[in-house]
Amino acid sequence: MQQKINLPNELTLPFIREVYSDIHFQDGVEACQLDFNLVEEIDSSGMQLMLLVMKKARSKNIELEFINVSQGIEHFLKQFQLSPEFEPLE
Amino acid sequence: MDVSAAFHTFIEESAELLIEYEEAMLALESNPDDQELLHQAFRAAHTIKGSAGLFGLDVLVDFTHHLESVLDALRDQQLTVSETILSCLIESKDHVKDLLDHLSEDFEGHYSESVMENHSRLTQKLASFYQREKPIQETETETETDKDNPLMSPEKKPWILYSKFAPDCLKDGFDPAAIFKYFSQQITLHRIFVLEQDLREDSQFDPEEFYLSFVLIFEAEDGPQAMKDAFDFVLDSTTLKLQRVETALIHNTAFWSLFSDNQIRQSIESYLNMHYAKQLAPQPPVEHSKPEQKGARKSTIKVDALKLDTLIDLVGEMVIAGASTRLRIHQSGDERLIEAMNTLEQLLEDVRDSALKLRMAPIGNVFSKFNRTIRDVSKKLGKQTQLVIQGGDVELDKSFVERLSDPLTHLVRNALDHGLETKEERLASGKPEAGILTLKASHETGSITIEVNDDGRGLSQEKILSKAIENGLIESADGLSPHDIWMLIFEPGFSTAQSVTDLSGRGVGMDVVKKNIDELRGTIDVNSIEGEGTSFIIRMPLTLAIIDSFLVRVGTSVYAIPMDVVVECIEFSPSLCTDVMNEAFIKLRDKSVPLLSLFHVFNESIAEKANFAVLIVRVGDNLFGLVVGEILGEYQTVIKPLGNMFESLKGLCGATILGGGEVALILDVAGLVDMVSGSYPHLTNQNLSISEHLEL
Repeated sequence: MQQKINLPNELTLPFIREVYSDIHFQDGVEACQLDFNLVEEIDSSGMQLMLLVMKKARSKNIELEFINVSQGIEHFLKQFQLSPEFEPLE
Repeated sequence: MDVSAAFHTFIEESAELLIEYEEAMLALESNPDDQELLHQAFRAAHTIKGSAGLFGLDVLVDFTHHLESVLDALRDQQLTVSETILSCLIESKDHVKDLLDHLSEDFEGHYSESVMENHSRLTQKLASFYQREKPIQETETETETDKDNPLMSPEKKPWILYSKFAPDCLKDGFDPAAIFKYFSQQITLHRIFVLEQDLREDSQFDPEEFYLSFVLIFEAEDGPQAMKDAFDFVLDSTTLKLQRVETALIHNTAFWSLFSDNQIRQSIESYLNMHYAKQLAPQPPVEHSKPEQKGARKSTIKVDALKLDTLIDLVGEMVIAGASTRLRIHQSGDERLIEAMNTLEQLLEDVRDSALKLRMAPIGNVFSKFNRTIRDVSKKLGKQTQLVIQGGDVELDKSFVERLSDPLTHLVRNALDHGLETKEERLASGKPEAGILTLKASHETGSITIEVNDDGRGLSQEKILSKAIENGLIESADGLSPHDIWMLIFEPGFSTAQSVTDLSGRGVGMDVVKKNIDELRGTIDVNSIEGEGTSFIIRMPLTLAIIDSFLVRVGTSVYAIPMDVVVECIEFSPSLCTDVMNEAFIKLRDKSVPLLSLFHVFNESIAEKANFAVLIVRVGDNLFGLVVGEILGEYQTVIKPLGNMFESLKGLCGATILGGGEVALILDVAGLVDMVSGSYPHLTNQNLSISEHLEL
């Protein structure tokens, strides 16, 4: 079973608690897409949340994919090696 | 991460590194072309600098940087090893030690004015060496490999920064990502490692708190300054550990212990090794490498001395409980239990021996530090001295090793100041220009012997006597043997120095030396030949904790006699008991051995038809026969101190608890003989003819 989670336009401190409460893996899910289509801003709290989501996915054997990542967000995530499909910064 | 523990590790490691550094410096004096010695010193200074940087010890970092620069110039042969440079480098070691000694638990340096004056003087002096050689404004040599490495620009150096932000940093308005963004504009950022080691589980996760830490690999001309600029607003609340990559690549426990996640640690190490190891590692010439020296480090772990003492105490209690169990089992007569107990006892003995060995340390650790003392004192006195160390690998209880340092220092200084002659005096008396001072350690029965020998002028009996009479220590020399006269130098207030110097000769030293040795249950002796030299001989017991002994019954009491001093046991004929109670000798093959009755010494009554035995014991070169009632057998003896009340009591070195719960006193045989020799003058006579002594 596959799941898709749409992320809001800001992964920043003022909204992070709300975003956190909205991200849940459904039971029995094998793959999940995190859709960054709306995301325009991300800060360290967003980065930390993404790390937690990645960690949870790993522990549940869920294949995680980041989709529709804008160039700016991609650069940010890439800098911290935060996306499974991104090559490390070298 | 317990930063305080890391700080203590840093202090301990630095002290060890300084010893290595000093050894290298002193060896360089006689081997100025030995590149490996320069590498050894450089590595030590470099590691101290790197670790000091982790704790933000700027003064120490700054000073060791200068030290490193001079050593680097020497390694690259831009400078030549000279007496002036070596002296300054050796003095610099003392200054680094001073700086370390002034550090407090809060990682702050509280330096006195004199320390800082010294700091500034030495810094200028060090800088003058390498700046003279390098007029260009670089402080470190740029290598060809640096140029070849695309990650390393010619001016910038690679740094590694560990940062752990406060959990509230986001709520306080500080965004780590934004700080890194600003930082990356000031430096060349190569890599960020995100450390999840503190990231909470889902149930404990608060999205507004920050749990991550980071490692940044970057290049900068001035890493500390760049860091300070970028992290200025969070300096108080953030843990920042910055160090040069080359320091992280060499052994640095304090830094790597920051990472509880082994995987991330390995990733960082791999990254650094891949990109920097070859370029930064010093390349000692193969022909000079000495793998058996520093390369072949033994695998060791550090253990808190208190934990070790607790272990020894527990082993002691186990031995006592074992003896009690053994007694009960033997009383039960159950053969199977007795057999099982025998096996258990053997294991107990092995555990005891292994535990005691943990506390043993080589005396060479103390001996080697005299290289420096001899160098400095000889220079001050204008004498030439060669130090010879023998038996440095002889081991004895660690607490002895530490406490012997002071008395040995005094003996060495004394030998240099008073014992060895000046160059001119030696040449005039047909001796080689350089005096020889020998520090020697060896095993003797039940003890360790440490000798401090010099080939100097020897002790002048005439001068000692005249001084002793002048100071009122004796009235005349009547009845004094040469040895008695030499021993006068251990009397309080005695001094033969013509003038008081800052090295020795204040007349407060030798008696303190003797007192220190006495406190360790040791003895000190002196031999001298006028014109040829003097020997101080210190005898120390092997350990303070648990020993093997013979239990003997004397009258109604039981005594333990350390096994190591016992040479043999002889049954004694009851018919001779009357004579034995008087001053008598026993014939032991071709020797006449004076007897000492413990019945007399301890005022024990003798039962009618009593049996006797003689324990032949060795004290130094002499044999004595201790007359006892019954030999009860071997016993693992846990030494319990007698307490302050009995501190001055000679002849006993402690007490032990027997299996049945009774207490047995442990004899200090050397002390006992010394104590009673006045009352039993025959004890001092080891060379009577056979006809003069009682034969068995």
